[in-house]
Amino acid sequence: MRAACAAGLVLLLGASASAEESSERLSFEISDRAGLVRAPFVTSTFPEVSGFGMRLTAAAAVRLASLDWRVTLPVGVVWLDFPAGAHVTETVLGNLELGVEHEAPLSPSTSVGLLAALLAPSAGQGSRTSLLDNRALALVSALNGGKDSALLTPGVSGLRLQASVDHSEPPFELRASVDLALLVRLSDASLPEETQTHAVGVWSALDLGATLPITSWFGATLGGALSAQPVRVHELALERHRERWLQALVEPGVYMKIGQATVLGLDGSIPVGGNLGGDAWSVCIHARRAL
Amino acid sequence: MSLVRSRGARASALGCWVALGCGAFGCLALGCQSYRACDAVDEAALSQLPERLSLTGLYAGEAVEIIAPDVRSFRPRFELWSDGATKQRWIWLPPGAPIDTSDMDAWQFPVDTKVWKEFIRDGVRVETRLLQRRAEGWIGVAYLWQEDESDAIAAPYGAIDALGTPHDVPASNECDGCHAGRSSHVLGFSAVQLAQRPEQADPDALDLDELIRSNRVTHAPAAAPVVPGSETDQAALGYLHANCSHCHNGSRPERRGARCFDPEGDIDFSLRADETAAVSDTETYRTAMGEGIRRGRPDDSRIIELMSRRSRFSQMPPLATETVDTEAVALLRRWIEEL
Repeated sequence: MRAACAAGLVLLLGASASAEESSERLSFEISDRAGLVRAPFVTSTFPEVSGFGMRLTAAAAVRLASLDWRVTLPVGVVWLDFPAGAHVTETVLGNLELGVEHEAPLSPSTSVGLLAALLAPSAGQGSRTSLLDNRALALVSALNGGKDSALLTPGVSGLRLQASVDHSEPPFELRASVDLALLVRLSDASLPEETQTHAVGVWSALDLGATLPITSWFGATLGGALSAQPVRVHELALERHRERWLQALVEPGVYMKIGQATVLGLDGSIPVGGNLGGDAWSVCIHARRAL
Repeated sequence: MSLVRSRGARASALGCWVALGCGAFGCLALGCQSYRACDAVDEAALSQLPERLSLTGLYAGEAVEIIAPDVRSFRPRFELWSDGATKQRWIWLPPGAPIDTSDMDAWQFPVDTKVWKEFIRDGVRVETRLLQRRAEGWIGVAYLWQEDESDAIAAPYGAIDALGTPHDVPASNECDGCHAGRSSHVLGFSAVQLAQRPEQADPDALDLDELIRSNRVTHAPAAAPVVPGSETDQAALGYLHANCSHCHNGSRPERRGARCFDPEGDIDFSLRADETAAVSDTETYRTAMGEGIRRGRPDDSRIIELMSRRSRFSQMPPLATETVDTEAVALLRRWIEEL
């Protein structure tokens, strides 16, 4: 879930809840990322997809025996551009992720976390002729530079591992994480036969985030990410797209604290270079409730 | 417990922000573009059409070389801009069933009528579109040519940058974006479009005179349709008729479902078959002057601004073109200056 929204806001929400974290048993999170995208796709008929997309990601976690057991499910709603310029609305489910996370303090100001998650192949595939679901997933995946592509690749199962470090260096809160996912292709995902595929795909990402309070109730966040897909389960159709397997991302944001435990924030996601630089942008709103 | 309740209430407020955010983003990106929303592709209806172009009746036999003898080519006097693509058009009319031309500006075609349009872009035969009149209404699909040109295959969802060209093949639900704006559904086959001037006439193409002579229309026009004005007037009014009036017209049929390029405005760029000799009597002059066309001031005319750009958010025409028709912009600028 932490990859679903800009790192800064998640960091803030995590920080805002940290005071009560020891008593936290159950938490729910929802994020809404929305934006405009033109992204590469995997068939020769549709080498690109474009349109306006929203990705709602819902997650829940329960703490048992010092472990956080998490479940995450993204849903995409897209206004897909058709070839001549019409829009058609499509809703699609992503992959269900089931994970377990452990956090441990290294020092009073530093903690580390480890997460392992399994992906259930629930992502939509749609009909072979339309590829609407496949195209919708590609579109919502590109909203934040493909950082969540493991959740949004159809016809796969897999394992995602994440290691993270949180450090407090007043006035900054800093976070770094590394993700690695192995995706195993289970089906052709309704894609045409000529689509180039690999039995196993590899995806990884490096995330860095910092929070700077400007006043007691308002501040700024800045995140950066570098994601890499050296082996894609479904190869992109155009050679020029395949050559660019690294994608950088800048994620600036602002936040406003309300009371002790609630934060409102708005983060942008701006891909730089790669296949999406100049062709995608999105903003994200995030909410979290703990019991 | 009080802390838990407090956090829950605030989270609910956040939920409202999330919902508001969704709406705001949607409005930001699409609010002014709701006219682009079209209904989904009707796969059940399309299943009634052949999967291959060679089986649609365009060709004599299954080889895609010789046009069937009862299929006729035609060429509209004013053509739709298609980013420089070269186009050929054909029509097949069922024998013994004339076109109902009681409304000379809204011809009603007999059931089973078929109309084809072939697109060649950068020397590559890319697609051939088929519109067919069925008892329940019109249905259309584009056939995407195979690279060896042995046949073309139905592409109900279209294609982007087809066959290595910049040409995009429309999905079948996008046909309505232009064709549903007229009750006739067929856009380039009308009294105005087929009343060719002699120097333009193609001897092999079907035209209005032949339709009348061969009793393929129920009513003949009282006189051959005339486009008023000078050469520039005629070219400009004709261009607007062919490129804009399928959406911007005053007789648009009622439509259920998504707007699908219904401008919901009062501007009408149509040329009528009974047009008088005065430019000032045309629908374009009466409805668009001051509303997008400013006499003598092309730089202040919205129509020039929109025609001169290609952008996701604002361009004219809004569909099926990615390249500005610079010759047409120059023509329209000259016309507006001379008005």
